[in-house]
Amino acid sequence: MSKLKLILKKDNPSLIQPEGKTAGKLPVEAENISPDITAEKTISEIAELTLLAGRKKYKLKDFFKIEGEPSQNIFIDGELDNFKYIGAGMTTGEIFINGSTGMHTGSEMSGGKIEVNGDTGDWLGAEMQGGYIKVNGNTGNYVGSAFRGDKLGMNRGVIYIKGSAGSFLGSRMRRGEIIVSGSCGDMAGAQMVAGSIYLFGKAGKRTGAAMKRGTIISAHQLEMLPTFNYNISYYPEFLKIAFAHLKNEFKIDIPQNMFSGYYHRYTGDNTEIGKGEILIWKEG
Amino acid sequence: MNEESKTYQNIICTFCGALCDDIEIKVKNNKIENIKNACAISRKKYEHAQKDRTVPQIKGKEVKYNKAVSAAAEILSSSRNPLIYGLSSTTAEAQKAAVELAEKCGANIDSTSSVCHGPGTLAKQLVGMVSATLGEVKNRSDMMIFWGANPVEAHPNHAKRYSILSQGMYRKNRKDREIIVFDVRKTPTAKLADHFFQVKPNSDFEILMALQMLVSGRTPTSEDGRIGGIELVKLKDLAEKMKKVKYGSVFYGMGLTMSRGKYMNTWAAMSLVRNLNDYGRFVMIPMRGHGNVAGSEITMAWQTGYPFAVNFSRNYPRYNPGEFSAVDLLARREVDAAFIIASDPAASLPHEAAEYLKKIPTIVLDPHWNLTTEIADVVIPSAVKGIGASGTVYRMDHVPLQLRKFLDDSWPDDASAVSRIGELIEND
Repeated sequence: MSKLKLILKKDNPSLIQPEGKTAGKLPVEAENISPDITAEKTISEIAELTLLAGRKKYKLKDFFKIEGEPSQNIFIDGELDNFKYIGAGMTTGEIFINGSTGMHTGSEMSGGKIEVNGDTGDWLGAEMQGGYIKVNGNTGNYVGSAFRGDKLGMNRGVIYIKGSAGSFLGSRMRRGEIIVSGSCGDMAGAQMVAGSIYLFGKAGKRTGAAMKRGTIISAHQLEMLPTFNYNISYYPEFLKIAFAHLKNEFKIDIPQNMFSGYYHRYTGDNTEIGKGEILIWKEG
Repeated sequence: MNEESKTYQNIICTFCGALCDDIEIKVKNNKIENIKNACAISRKKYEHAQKDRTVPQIKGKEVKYNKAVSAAAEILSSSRNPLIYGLSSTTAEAQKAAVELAEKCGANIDSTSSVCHGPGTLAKQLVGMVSATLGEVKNRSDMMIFWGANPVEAHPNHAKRYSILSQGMYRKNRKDREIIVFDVRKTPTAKLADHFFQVKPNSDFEILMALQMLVSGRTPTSEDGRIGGIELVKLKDLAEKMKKVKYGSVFYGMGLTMSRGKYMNTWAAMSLVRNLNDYGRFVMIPMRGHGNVAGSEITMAWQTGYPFAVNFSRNYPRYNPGEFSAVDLLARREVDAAFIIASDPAASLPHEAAEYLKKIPTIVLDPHWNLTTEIADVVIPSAVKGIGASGTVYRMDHVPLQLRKFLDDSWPDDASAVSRIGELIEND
């Protein structure tokens, strides 16, 4: 399969160098790095694509060495932790980033796949409409959440984080699945409307605060809010189907012990409509 | 020259967000001779206002005023991602000029709000806030709740002028009001209260959520009969009381907005206040710190549509606290120049963020020397607002007040300095 390769130049315009030494990196807005755009263009056109560093416009070739041919399959190499909006709004194709990325990676995407072989910034897959994001490192806050001022976060799609996640994971999400293998911060699933969050590591405080509907599954004991009710201990059969679907379709590692034992079920948040559920795994 | 002394009445003290407007000042030979009605903090502020004044400087060397201003314009126009920060201790006119400047140089603009009451503003955007002026609260409120706020020490005249001890039209004195304090320790404000609830640190959110349930007649879950360190029975009594009062008011401070949970804490408080309006009237007022920090949000909102953390790199305003807020931009090392207006980030921001200011060209516009002027490349002096400069400031309840100057100052005010930099960039 043809591939477009972008290799980050060591000396690129995003570096802040007062008095010759690198002090920091300007944020680069790179929504043009998206399979929808690169597939339609020739290599010379791709080299001319605009990237915004701070308030100055630059060309893609200023930052990257371009190899391969125009394709829906993009391979990026380099530490892109100051690059925002990579793959934002993409509808198809594939991006593989060998390194870290910055904020808004894959935000509002509706199809295709992004894999990050490193860490990502905040708002990963925020308001995504579909597709699959896999992060092999850690992510920041607001994964799959709504942008400020919007009512609904991610609506369909799957986000899989192998490392840990920050606070407000899946806040106000509407549909879709988020799986975190490592730990996650406070307020996971805050104000979520629907969807599923799988927490295989430890979670911070106030998981599910003000959730309306949706399911949060945790492998570890959570500090429950006073606005949640304990219902029952059981093994929910649907979990076997859900786990099988994650394992077969997305190659996600499910901790073996979660297939057995039983789950404490809590419902809440009772200040809202109270139809959300939190399932906490217990050894059986 | 020996002048007659002159007395100025109803001068506004701009030290804190309460903006007391009854200060009386006697002036002789362009110097303050006597101050009346001022609190201890305000008195100190007036005594030191004319001391430790800045002079125009470039890299530690004293220069002419105009040279410092054009050096500032040069730094900002050559910067690819500048930051304009501060704004809380200046006038609305200067804030307006700063937004215009930010637009001209594609800057990020943020006020100190993002490190104090900003989370409260985020919450306001989520649920809305039922509010009132301090005058209305003083005249009508029969239950005052102070949450994570300690006005006795931070806003010394607040209790006397607007809240606990004030003489209102319908609520004549202390006896007509029930005072409730939620705090992590027994503050001097708590000692004045009828009821003090000691909150386990960082559990404000749990208590507020539980109160929401109790107000709607349901019982929250608790294993040991306590929520956030407070007995559930006591919270239940409070919820019943809250439903019965005619006019309740909640004053919240940084104990609520800046403890664990940040904007969700204030969100929970605002949701509770919203629900309480089903029974009687209930309002909320933030206890703003700096003189015009409320004004910074108002000015930014009517200029850009957003209250703080606004970015102009695409020539239109974009808003995202966490992405465009000063602390984050500095800690992530994403800006290449900083313009600090009437603020001291080197003293107030986290070490990592303040440290980065040393590495990039920094301009400070401030009437007094502070820790940030020490590390600044360019220092521009200005007249002290409310003393040597006039302008508009907003009180914590968003009431605009007009400042009058009563002393002559050797430097122009903040607004003209910022506009001058803007003009220089535009004509470049």
